[in-house]
Amino acid sequence: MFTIIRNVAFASLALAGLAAPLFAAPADQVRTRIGAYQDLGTQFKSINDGLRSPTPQPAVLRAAVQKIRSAATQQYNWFPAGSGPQPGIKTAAKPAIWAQTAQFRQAQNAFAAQATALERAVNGGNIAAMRSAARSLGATCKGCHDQFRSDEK
Amino acid sequence: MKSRYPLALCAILAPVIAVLAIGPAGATPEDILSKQEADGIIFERQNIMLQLEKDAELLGEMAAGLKPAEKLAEVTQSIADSASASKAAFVPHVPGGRSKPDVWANWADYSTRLDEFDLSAKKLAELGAKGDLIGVTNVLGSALPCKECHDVYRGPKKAS
Repeated sequence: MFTIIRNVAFASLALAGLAAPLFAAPADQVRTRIGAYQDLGTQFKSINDGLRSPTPQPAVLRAAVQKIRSAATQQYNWFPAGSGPQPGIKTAAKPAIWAQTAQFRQAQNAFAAQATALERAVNGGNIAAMRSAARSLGATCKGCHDQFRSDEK
Repeated sequence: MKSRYPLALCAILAPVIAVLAIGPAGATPEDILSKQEADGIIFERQNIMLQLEKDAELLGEMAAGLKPAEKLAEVTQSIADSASASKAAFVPHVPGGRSKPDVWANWADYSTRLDEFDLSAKKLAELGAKGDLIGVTNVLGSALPCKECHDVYRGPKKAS
C-alpha cells in the first residue's frame, strides 16, 4: 500500500516538473522571450559591426553566428499560447502571431533558414558572402517584424 | 567625309546618361534590388539608428547625472561607430522604413549632414575616451543633430 502511494507521489511530482513550463506565468514567458530577442539583436549587431571592420575577426563572427543559430532553433518555444498581449503584460508581439500561426511559422522558418545560410557563409570565410548572408538574415527579421511586431514606443 | 561630331557627342552624353541612370553618387537604383535585398538594407539602417537612439539616451542620462559615467568612452565610441556607418547605409537608393524619398532627392544636403555628424561624433568620442564628461556635455547638443535631420528626412511611425 505504501509502495503504491509512494509511486503515485513520485509520478505526480515528475509530471508536475514536466508540465511546469506550461504553467509559467505569461509575464515570465514574455520576459524570457524579450531577453532572448535582445540577445539575438546583440549577436546580429556583433556580426554587422565585425563585417564593417577593416579586419573582421573570424572567431568573433563564428561565436555570434552560433548563438544566432541556437536562437533560430529555440524561437519555436518562445510564443506559447497565452503569452500574447493582455492587461498588465507589455509585449510587442502582435495577436496575429497566434491568429495566423501558419504565416508566423513561415516567418520563423525563413529566419532559421537564413541563420543556417549565414553560419555556412561565416564558416566559408568569404567576407562578401557573409555580408550578403547577413543582409538576407536581416531581411527575414524585418519581414517578420513588419507583420508580427508592433512598435514598442 | 565622316563627321566626328557623333563620336564627340557620345563622349559628352555617355557620362550624363550614366549619372541619370545611376542617380546620386554611389546610389543603386532600387529596381535592380530584390525585395529581400532591399529589406536587408532597410533593416540595417534601422538597427544603426536604434543603436544611436539607445546610446544618445544613455549619454544624455550620464550628462544629466542620472546615470554613472563609467561607460562614457564606450558609449561615445559606439555613437561614433554608428555615425560612421550611417552614410554607407544610406548610399543604396532604397526608400523604406521611415526614410523619406527626400533623402535621395536631396542627397547633397543629406550626405553633408551625415559627414558633419561623422566628424562631430568622432570629436565626441575623443572627449569620451579621455573621460571628459564636462567636455562631452558641452558639445552634446551640436554633436547629436538628430532632431534637425529627422524633422526633414524622417517620416512618421506607421500605425501598428
